[in-house]
Amino acid sequence: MKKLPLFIFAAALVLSADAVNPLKEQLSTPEQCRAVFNDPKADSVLRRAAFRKLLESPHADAVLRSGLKDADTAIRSGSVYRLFQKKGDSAFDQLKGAVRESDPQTAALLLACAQRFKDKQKSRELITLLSKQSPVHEVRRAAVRIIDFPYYRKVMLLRDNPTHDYEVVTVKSIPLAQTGWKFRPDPMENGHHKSWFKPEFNDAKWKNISLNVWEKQGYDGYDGIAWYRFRFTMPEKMDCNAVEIHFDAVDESAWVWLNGKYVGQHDVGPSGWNMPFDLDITQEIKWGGENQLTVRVEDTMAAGGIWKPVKINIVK
Amino acid sequence: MKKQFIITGILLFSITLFGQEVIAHWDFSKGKIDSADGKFKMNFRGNTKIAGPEGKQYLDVGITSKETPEGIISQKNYPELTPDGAFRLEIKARLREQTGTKPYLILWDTHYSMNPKSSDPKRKKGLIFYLVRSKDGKLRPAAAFGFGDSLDFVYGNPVELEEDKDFTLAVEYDGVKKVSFFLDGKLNRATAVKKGGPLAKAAYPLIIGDRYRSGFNRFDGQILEVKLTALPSPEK
Repeated sequence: MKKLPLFIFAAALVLSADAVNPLKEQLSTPEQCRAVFNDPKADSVLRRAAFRKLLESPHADAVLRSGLKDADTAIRSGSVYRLFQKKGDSAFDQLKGAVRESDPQTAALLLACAQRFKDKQKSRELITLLSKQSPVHEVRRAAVRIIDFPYYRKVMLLRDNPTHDYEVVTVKSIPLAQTGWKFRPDPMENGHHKSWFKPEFNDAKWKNISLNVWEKQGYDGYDGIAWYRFRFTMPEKMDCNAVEIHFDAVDESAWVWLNGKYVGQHDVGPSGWNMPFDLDITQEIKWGGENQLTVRVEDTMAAGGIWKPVKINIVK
Repeated sequence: MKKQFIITGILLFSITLFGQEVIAHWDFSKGKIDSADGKFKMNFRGNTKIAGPEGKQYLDVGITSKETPEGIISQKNYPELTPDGAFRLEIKARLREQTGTKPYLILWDTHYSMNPKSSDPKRKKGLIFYLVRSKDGKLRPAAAFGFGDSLDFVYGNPVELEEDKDFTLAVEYDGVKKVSFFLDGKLNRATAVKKGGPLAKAAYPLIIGDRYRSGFNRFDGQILEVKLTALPSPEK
């Protein structure tokens, strides 16, 4: 049996901890508890204690439903946990109503609950909703990875390698051409199922695009996923410790394949639109031959695309 | 002998055309969005624009990933755009690569709602002509006929349409019951509406390339020409 993440237990412990005595006096009857719980201006510690006490009443279900919409994140996360603990799969409809939860911990808890539904169809439905509607970027990504897009690789560059205790020097930098890239929007987000990252995929019908935002190249108004494909030739093997691909900026998230192999991602949400990033391609690069690069880009607002130069850095 | 051929040709041509009357014609190749005779005035919506080289221009239906309107809209509700009897609506267009997630690609809309259970009678009038995209990428011609108290949906056979390649899609209604879909002049499917009779006059203005309001379903591509023709009814 899988164990729930630690923070779920932490949340449960906080919520089940007995209130201090002065609080008990103010919450000695169900009426007092209801009055405190329904007063949004009441002291938050007192309200949480009232919430816990009300969960022992015959009206616990109504309290939990109301708790899901409470302004207090501790009460919201407690409601998610208790609802799932109490009702299991039957909590589906209520938990579905909480997919736009903005508190990162509560949203992560919701995702953890969704993964534990016994009814796998319900589980998938809730995870899919979270993958599309959660306002928390990390939760949305985690949900996407679970259901449909398993591509992830921890980015580890030569400079991050603790065993390489030397100054990292770029021996040679090979800029990739600004033009000659192939481009295709992927509004249905299923390009990876169609093998768009494979070197042998025929992209002849894709549109040509330059390295600039796609809004300026005929796709004004498009937000979502789009794919870039590009071929380049590498020189004969050089003396080096690593090869890295450097992107000056992609607006806003990017997933990268080289010669059909997944090499990593730049995925920090909308704030990543103007951040340079590097990925290690030492194992995937073909020296003295043609290489095929594929970049899947997601843009969720305003301009999007690979809009700054890309280069291959040979480092030592 | 040659004269006889010419006269026979003219006669046949006249018979074929007899009773046909072009109600409205938009030829975007000239860079204008109003109908060719200037009678039906239109306005742009969203990112939609006229694009392409002079003489080969087209209506470039705007791309949007938001719930916002595209296409062009008539400046008022023209009753003539709902024919009284039999008619043919033909649209020359081409698809771009898919940029939208909606299953409907609406070419012509004068009746807004696609909900047959709508209680609002205004939403059971006029016509929607559109393509339905299926998961396998095929497209099915479709039309919704508003008869005032009912909304009848009819569908053609699924077709594969190549991106960036012109096609002409037409729907023909005999004013009684029979509906035929044509692709590039060839019959795609002949079918019939349930209720039949003349369409109820539209309560909304015409949109070319999208739906009138909310739940927008833009056409994902370019429109070159739109022609609405009144046909002789079968009784005549």
